[in-house]
Amino acid sequence: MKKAKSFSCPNCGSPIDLRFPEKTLSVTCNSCGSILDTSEDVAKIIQAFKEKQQVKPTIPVGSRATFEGQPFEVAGYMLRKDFDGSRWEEYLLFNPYLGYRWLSHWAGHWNYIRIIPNFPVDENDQVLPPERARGNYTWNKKEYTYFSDYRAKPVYVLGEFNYKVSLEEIVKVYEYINPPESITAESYRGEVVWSHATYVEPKKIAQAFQKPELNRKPSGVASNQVNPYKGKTKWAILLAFGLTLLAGFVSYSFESRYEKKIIQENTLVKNTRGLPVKREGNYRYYEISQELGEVEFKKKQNFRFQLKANVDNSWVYATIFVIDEAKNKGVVFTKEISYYWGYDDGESWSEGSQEEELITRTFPPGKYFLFATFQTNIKGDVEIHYKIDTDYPPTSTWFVLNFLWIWAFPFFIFAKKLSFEKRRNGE
Amino acid sequence: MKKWFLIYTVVSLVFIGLDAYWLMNKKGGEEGEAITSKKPLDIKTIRQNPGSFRSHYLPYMIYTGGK
Repeated sequence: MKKAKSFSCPNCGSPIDLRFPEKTLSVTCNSCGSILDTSEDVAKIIQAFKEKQQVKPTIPVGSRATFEGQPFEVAGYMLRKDFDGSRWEEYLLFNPYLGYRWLSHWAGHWNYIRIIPNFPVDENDQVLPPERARGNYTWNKKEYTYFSDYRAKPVYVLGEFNYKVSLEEIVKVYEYINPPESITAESYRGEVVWSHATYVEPKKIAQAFQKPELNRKPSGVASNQVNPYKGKTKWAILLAFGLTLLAGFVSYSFESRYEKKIIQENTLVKNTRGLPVKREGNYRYYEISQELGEVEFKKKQNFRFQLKANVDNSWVYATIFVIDEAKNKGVVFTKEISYYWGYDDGESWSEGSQEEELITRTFPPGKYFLFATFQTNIKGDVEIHYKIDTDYPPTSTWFVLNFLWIWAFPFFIFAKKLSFEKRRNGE
Repeated sequence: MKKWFLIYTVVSLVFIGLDAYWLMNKKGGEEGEAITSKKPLDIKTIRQNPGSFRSHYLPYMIYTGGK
């Protein structure tokens, strides 16, 4: 049973009742905010406040919560800061059987902390203070990666503490992480205190204190917060593979229903020297006409024209007429085959191709007359190879879109994962 | 996160379905330019003189700009 110890504040005279007199070595005066040493029978002033600060802890001192299945009471509160301007809260929790624990709070992120008696070892299995060790630490068979080091000091304290608190105490903090856990070394005047922290979701803190208002969405990223995208990239890639296979199978199944029938394959060879030169604006060209054949469709089908020409720093412009003889209606398709190459500043370049492909829309059943004219600037022998298929599957826009969509997702997840880590390191 | 995976999978399956529909109904391919002729097409003459196609028939061909 707790036995309260009462005394008057040596600074302001206000009465002070200790909640945990056997354990408390320092306490703050609720009236004037002075920090008092209670290790001896007569309380002494460690630090007197010139003016009382107005800091309201997120959780009031004296609040009760359940951790590790046991009740804890908030004995002390400390507001700390580093020298980069960050501030965070630390709560000293006490349970008579389990002893002391800490709870830290920054921007809605919570960590449940306990002091660890067995020191972590570095990569060489050496128990070394962090300022002398390099790299990572292992504790309880888990490896923790170096995250940061900084200097910290308390700016405000409230309640009772199991050590002599001082606002002048500047400690060097070394932090090593293995989310959702971390180990921290606090070094002060050659003494190192190690602690182990576990990230706790705000929802669980709210449940532990039975204060729903503590279940707030955190801002920023905590050092030992689990990356929500960790492991998801692998699943996204596996899922993308599965969906690609399914999409490929569906596409192949339906594409195999096309007949892909070759109706004509021929090579047209013509010397243009005997042909009249035609003019159109600044262009001068020769024109070659060629009947490509007749075809009768019993069902709706399309055409694929594969064209190959001996273009070499020259061009051939193909105009293909597909004419429904009975209706005197038709459709005209055009395709340019051009290939240019050269050297610029010692670098070779080329553009275009000697081969082109044209896949048309489908035509309803009927008889079609195919005719082509080829315009070219080639002087001399022109060689045009053409191959015509009917019922040929066009490249499916949906397949292409789907492929892009399927693989964009794993990249998105991976980018989010990297972005989270960047934010973690930036905080 | 599960929600995003679900949306992603559903959208992918919809795309797969659209691809199947596209191929089943033989959609796609170049549309070309529609033409119509005022003059009946005389294939026999064209065959005898392929070069006459443009000069004889193109003036009678009207681009309709549709299918």
